[in-house]
Amino acid sequence: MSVGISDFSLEEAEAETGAVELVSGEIAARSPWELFLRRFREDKFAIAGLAFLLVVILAAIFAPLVCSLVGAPGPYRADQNALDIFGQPTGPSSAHLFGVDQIGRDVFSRVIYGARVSLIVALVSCVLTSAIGVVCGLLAGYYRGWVDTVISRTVDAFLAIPYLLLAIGLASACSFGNGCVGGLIKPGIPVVVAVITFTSWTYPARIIRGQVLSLREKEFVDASRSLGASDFRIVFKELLPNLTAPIVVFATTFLPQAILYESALSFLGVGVQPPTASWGQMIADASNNINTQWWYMLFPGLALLFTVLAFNFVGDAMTDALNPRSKRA
Amino acid sequence: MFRYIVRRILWGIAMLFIVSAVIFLIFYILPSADPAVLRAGRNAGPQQIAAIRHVLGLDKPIYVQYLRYMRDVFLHFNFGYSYQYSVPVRQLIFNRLPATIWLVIGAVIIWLGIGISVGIISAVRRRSFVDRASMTTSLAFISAPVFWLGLVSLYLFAKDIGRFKIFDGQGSFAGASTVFEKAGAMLLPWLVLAAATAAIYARYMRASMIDTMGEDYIRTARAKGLPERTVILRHGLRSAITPIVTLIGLDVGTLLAGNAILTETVFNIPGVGRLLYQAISQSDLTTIQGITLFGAFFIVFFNLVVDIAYAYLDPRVRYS
Repeated sequence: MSVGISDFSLEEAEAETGAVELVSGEIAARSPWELFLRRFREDKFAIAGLAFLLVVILAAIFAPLVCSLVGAPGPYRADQNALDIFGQPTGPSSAHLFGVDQIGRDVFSRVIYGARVSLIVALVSCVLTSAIGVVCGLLAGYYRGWVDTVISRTVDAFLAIPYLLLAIGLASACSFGNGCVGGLIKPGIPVVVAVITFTSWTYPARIIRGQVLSLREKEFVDASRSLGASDFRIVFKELLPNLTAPIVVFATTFLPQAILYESALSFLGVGVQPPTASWGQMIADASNNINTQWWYMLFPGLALLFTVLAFNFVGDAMTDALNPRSKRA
Repeated sequence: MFRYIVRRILWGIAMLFIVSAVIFLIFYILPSADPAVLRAGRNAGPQQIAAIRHVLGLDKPIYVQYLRYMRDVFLHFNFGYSYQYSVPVRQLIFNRLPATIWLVIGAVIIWLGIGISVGIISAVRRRSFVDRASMTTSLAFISAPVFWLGLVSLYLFAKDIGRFKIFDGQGSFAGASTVFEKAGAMLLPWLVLAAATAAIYARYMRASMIDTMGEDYIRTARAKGLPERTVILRHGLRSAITPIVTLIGLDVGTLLAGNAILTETVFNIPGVGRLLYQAISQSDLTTIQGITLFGAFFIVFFNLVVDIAYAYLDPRVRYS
């Protein structure tokens, strides 16, 4: 789950910014943000990835506009005329850029609308996962003692449960009738987000706990406490800002994984429910007829591959830029 | 060493209890559907449902249910009863395990071979074209969804439907009888399952190797006049490979436990993952719960093995 996170070290990032402040008298000072930008810009793959993601995000937001611009009929219209005389789907043509599926729906429109699902699920579950993980990590690392024991043992137990199995179990339990936890979590996107968050919050919790354990011993925490700051203030005003780098690194590496996660759940039929278009679910629909109807499998898969790859390029570059002495370059 | 092993085993057992409790709670709280209603079928009256609820012990308070469940799991190694097939879940899992083991063992060998060697080459030829090309390729394999990779590889290379008829196609494992036939049927699934993990291992191995090659004792080895080959393979690799060992245990554990479900579904391999897939489509919650718990046992067990192997490889661990 945590590719590239493990070799991140906060001390190194701090040493870097500290050094800049020292020489700021003679040379033009650069803020950490400027330094980050300069290093990030050097990575051509990351710039290309960022540009691609921008296109995907715009396409997702303006999906109806994109579809009408290329003359695509939208994701839900099943067009009998688009099937051939045997009732089989037809391949890419000028009317249907990516062909149509078994019941005559336009694959191009569904790929564009599928981006909405992927991005929404990835963003919301990333925010929730990071928030829960960071709060648990902060509490465990700051208070230590029994708080730490409870949180850390729970994290250990979660890590011993095969996450995909747990996710499938939860998702299928929640997909009956009107959802689970008394109907609070409805089948479809809410279930997917809940399941991804529920099985992933342990990763940021572990990372943040480790960082807090060393941060809490630093002088600025003592200084703050001696000025009479409350625990709440120390945790959220003093410690949290110092954790920006690891949180950003986690979030950027987690986003692509959340997209793959959603697609896997939807592929297995426990994720986003039809007729909502989702890339994973489109590939599942296509899997019975890959021999004759390659287009229906190919395009959602390429969309997934390129989106995830772009996120990974950006994530790698961010990790490097926040951690200049990383071993990757 | 002995004390360390005993400590790890005790911790593993404690872990099993915690994990069982967590899984029990999750599957007790979350489902909104009543298991007794599911078991009773469509045309059951309220009396029948009440009778079933009584037989299953679902009318008892939660702690009684929990104790019964723990007793079944730990004393009778009973992971529940599949209402769909009317057999114990344990039996279902054991029937399916051989196919999954076949799949996982081959894939492990492939991903270790490729991952470790690519990682070493990339680390030694750091910043070269080979390094950049293999790291970019590895990122592409990490980014590709495994089920899609499987379908594309079938479309391209399967003997029945492929454009280039090289490998056995979907569902050929079930029909294979000899070891060679089975291995042949598994080749494509092995490669597909190994692809992403090999890529991850290559990246880890590269980072670990670069770390190690900067150590003082490597400089010493070079200064002694040892050939570079010996320095890399005998001195560098030995310590660079230890962090990888930790990964293997967890990855093998999760795959055997059913995380290979995507690959098994695509290639129609009758393994544990495939069983889980069928359980999902039939809303067979007890089977899903049983497989999850069984999987957790696998992971705890493999983590134990890894911890002990790690202590053997790196003596510092034993004394901390």
